[in-house]
Amino acid sequence: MRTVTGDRALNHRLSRGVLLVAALYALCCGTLPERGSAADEEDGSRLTLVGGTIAGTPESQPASAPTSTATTTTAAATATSSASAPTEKHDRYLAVVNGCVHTITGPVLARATILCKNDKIVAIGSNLPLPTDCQVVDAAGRDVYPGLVAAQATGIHGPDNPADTTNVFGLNMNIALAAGITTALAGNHVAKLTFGSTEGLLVRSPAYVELEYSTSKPLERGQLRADLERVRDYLRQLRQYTLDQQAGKAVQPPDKEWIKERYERYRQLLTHEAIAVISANTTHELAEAAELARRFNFHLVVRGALEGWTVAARLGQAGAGAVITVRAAQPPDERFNRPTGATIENARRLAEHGVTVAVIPPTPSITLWGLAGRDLLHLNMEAAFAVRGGMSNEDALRTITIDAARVLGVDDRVGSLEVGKDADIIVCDGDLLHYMTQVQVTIVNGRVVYDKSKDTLFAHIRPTGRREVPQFDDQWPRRLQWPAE
Amino acid sequence: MRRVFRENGRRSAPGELPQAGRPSTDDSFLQAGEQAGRWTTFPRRGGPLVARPASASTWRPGSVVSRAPGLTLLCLLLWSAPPLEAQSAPNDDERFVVIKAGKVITISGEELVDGVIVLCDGKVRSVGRNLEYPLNARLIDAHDRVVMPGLIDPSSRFGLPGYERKGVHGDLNAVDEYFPPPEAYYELLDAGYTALALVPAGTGIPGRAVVVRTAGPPDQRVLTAAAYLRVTADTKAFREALKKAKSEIEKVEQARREHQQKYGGTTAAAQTQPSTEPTSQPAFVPPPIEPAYQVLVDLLQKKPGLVALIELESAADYVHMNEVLREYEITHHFLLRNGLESDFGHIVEALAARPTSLVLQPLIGRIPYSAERIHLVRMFAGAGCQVSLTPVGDSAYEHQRMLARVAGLVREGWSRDEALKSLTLHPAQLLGLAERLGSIEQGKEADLIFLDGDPLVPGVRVREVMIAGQMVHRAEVAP
Repeated sequence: MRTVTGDRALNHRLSRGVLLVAALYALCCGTLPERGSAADEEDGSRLTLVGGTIAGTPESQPASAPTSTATTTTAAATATSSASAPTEKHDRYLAVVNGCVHTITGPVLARATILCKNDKIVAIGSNLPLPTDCQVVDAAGRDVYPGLVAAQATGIHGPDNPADTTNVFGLNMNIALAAGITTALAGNHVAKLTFGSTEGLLVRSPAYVELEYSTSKPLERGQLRADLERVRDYLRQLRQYTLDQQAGKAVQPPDKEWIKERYERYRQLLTHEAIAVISANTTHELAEAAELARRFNFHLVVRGALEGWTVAARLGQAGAGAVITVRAAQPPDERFNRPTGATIENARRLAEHGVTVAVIPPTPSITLWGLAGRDLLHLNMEAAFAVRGGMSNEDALRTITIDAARVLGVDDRVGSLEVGKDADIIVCDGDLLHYMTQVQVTIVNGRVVYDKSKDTLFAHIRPTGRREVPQFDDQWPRRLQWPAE
Repeated sequence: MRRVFRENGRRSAPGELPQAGRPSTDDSFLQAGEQAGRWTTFPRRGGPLVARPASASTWRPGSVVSRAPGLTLLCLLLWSAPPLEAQSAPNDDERFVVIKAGKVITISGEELVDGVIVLCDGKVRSVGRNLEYPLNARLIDAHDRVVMPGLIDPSSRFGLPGYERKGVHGDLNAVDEYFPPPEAYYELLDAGYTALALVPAGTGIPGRAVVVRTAGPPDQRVLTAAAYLRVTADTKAFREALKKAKSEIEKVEQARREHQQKYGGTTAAAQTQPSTEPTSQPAFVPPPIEPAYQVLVDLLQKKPGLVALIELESAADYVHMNEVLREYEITHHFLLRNGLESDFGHIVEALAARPTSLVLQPLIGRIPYSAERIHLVRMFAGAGCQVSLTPVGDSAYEHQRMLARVAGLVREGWSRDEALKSLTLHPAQLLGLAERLGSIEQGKEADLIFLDGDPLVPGVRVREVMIAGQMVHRAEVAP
């Protein structure tokens, strides 16, 4: 996987709620390393919007001296640049205003506004001028996060092809949106939770190349290694052929007739077009998988990684990602004179060694076996258990947002709040890692798809979103003896 | 107090003598039928049916066949005989029938108190109040009965077995199935249904529906065998079937292009040129299209009168089917299987925005996983959709409960006019039979039901049924 240490260090430095003009300006202008040629187009469209339809600032804008300077400069600069830009198609605008914006990959911005155009974020900052026909979600006093990413999930989307089979009005999707999940792995596809439509549902398909590399199947292991070597040789020949051709030599291209089916998948692996996933839990299997990924240099994600903490360094060296359950329970095996078994520190240990960790609940599906369960309804609490194992709050948030997206290979589109990324946003009534926090509004692809106050699901639970514990008398079951006045 | 029809006999024009040898009233016949313990049809006087025994002229011959096995052969012979009436042009005085009723619900127009319907050759000639009609017309005085068009079920498998059939079967038609004997429809007649669309069974694209009458002369039982194409909520099968149909069209086009390149000139000219002028240029013969896909090809080519009825199990099905319909443009209507718990409330606006007709079940259900009731029928109709209603199941019991269920929908705020249309005119339009059925208008066929009260009042009962101008059924009221 891509190394994230640089980003992360930046995150640590900036994530204490400090508003830095430079960082904000960088966010507004979209100077993100991941973005390619599309960045310029996005900038262009943003400028068009700001210049063309300025409606004035909302009334409840905070007076924040440094940020307002930056944004007014932006607005002034853009107003001149695009005086006439007719838009043929009607654009949708949505703004989440006045929230405490946790960008995940950048700083935490107090009382900031996120402006979305159609399904993309086009601006983040304070005192942003909003277009006239902009749908406004007031997040005053709320915390705003990117939509959560479930690195493994069943039951939200339909089987086979999720775009055709998903019940987009289903209860499971509704509940998952209430849990803040906006992107999930559906079978071998990364799909969004586009409630009520299939537009923009598929994000990446297929998501993984699944490899069988179990120690209990030595023959398959040998076959896989041999196949990978064969494909690697082919790629080397291909590279040599290209070089020779550039040098003007008369050469024959290597035979590529056999590059199909599984060889085609392996070719995609070795050229980093695809991501491999291997289910491995024991120390031995994890070490073997890491060795394979290091030898053939492909992107590896390990599923399970129960004893990952014992080989965290090797996994980190291989640049692997891991999809783990923090609360996995397995006692150590006393027969071995080495560390074994599961530990709640697993996520921290792996992350410390540079493994991209995505956290999933023990039951990665939608169940209703209790309100505070072990399923996707409480993905955020699963990340909180990683904090219990020693992870920092910031890193724990990453395990269900940007790192989970990175494990799925969709971190260029979801997982953080950045200009140019998809408008998948959740508005919470507090710190996401707090057990009382509930998602108030979920936005997917720039559309509000869940609103707690309007949905019948959880509207009755703390309707005001206040944190105070209700008085005893308001609770059920009532006590038998009423307190004396 | 039982009300029976009394035919007041012929009214003779002044100066005309009653024809000898012909009974002046049908009462005697009626009484005879009642005394025999069974109800038979009103015989048409003068026509060839009079020559038949009464038992042979009935279209509910169950008791007749079972009790008089000797007549069975005669029945069959007569049924298979060509329509005799069409061959012999009847006299004017035999063609006209006048119905006087306490109230006539025309569906298309206003409700007429003490209305008069004039029928000619089994079709409505005129309807109104204080109408003039030929003096020699046969008069049916229905007293205070309420007359309305017969109910039409737009989708049913009444009396037909189920099949586990999958895939694309565009060449199949429900008309080819083994139908139950005519007496099986007795209960439907009792419920006031005069026509129903029978669909082929299975999933995917099981085939085309047939619209049949529940009674009537055998040669007029099938109203149309070319009704809608049934499509079930299987997005993948639907998309692949349409893709295949499109490739079939392209196959023909490709062959046509090749033919043109090979021989030059227009193929149209080649086709129109008869063999009298022999040329070396052979006529273009299109490659055969797979029969199962022919109807889909026709749908894609916008053949007039051909529609698909897409069945939806949930709101998500609409979203997925809509993706396919965006890709392949075909004429279609939707059947929504709204049970007691359905999420179709999500798609009311989306469906109201398109010019489709909807078939719904007459239920007030709940929003899933909640205790909130939702009047889907009213929501869809209020949003501007043209709603037809189909019974909740295929059982005769559900057909008989239909009026009561619809009365429940009206009680909960639905418009009465819309409710009555959803049982008659809208299904007729959906089935492409609006020119013939669905309301009491000039030129439409006289498929009428006679009720002993307002159709949406509890306890109302269908007492008599007329199909194609003939009385075919009369409810047996317990003494």
